[in-house]
Amino acid sequence: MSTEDDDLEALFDSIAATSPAAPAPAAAETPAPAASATSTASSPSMGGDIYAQIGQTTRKLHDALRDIGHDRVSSMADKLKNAADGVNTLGNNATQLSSKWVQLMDGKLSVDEFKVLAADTKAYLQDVPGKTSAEIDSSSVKKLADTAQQLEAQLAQLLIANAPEDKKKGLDGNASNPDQIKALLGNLGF
Amino acid sequence: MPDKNLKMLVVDDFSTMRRIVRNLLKELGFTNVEEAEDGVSALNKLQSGRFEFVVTDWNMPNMSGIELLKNIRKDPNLKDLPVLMVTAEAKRENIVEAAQSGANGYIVKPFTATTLEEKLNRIFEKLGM
Repeated sequence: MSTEDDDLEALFDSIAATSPAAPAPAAAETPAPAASATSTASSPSMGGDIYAQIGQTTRKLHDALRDIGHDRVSSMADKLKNAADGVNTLGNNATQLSSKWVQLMDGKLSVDEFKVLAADTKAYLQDVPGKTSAEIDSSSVKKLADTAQQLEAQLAQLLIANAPEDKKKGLDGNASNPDQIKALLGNLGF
Repeated sequence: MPDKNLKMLVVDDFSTMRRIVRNLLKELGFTNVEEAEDGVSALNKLQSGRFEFVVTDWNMPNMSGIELLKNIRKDPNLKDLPVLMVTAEAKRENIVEAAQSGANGYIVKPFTATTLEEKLNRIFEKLGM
């Protein structure tokens, strides 16, 4: 298969070498010296094998995502996202607290006000660690879930773009949500 | 290796495919990338902006990639623009037509960043970019 690609590449080069855009009646097939070392393992000519492999990979990914549960991953990420929103509150509270401390240092707070400020600040500091770690978890989990779903959608698009002619007609070209991908895999026989 | 800031146009009617190509280019360090959804809008963009490289799909409505290529080669201001054709199948006749119409290279879908890099580098080398 790789030799086939090299032949086509050589064919392309031999034609392109003659004046471009000129009608070249007979394409002289000169097996050009293999230009530079271009034999990567994956030089996909979307032959049946590779197409089938991509189909099977997409199927596995789709099933794996289904097993984890699209909904569950999403709702987990959402919960973590809510926790992360708490971090914004932290920022706002910090601004308020620091302005109070500035007032204190300017001698503008009474003893009672100072006691309240001290208590608020202690509570605030105790609050911080939980909220920051929640944010880190939330963004990484969300990113992971999004990446997996993007990958699934991209594979599905490749399957659509390279579907055998006889099956192309039945496909609507949409494969962005789990149901559409499920239908697509079914239609293509994976 | 040319400037990574090379201004590129990715032409495909499939938004996902455009995004895939764009992401692959980004992986290779090319971030100055714009998109067009068919040959007609691509030609408009090319005529009004200073693009330095075109990656175009073959099958598109309104104006196909091969027609776009022919129009580029006909336009005195665009005729030297490097064009990489993206084809769905490694068919002899397609590759012959692309070469005869003045494509600088072709790549068969789907492709990895490595394959794209090889194809781009071949073109850069040939053109002394």
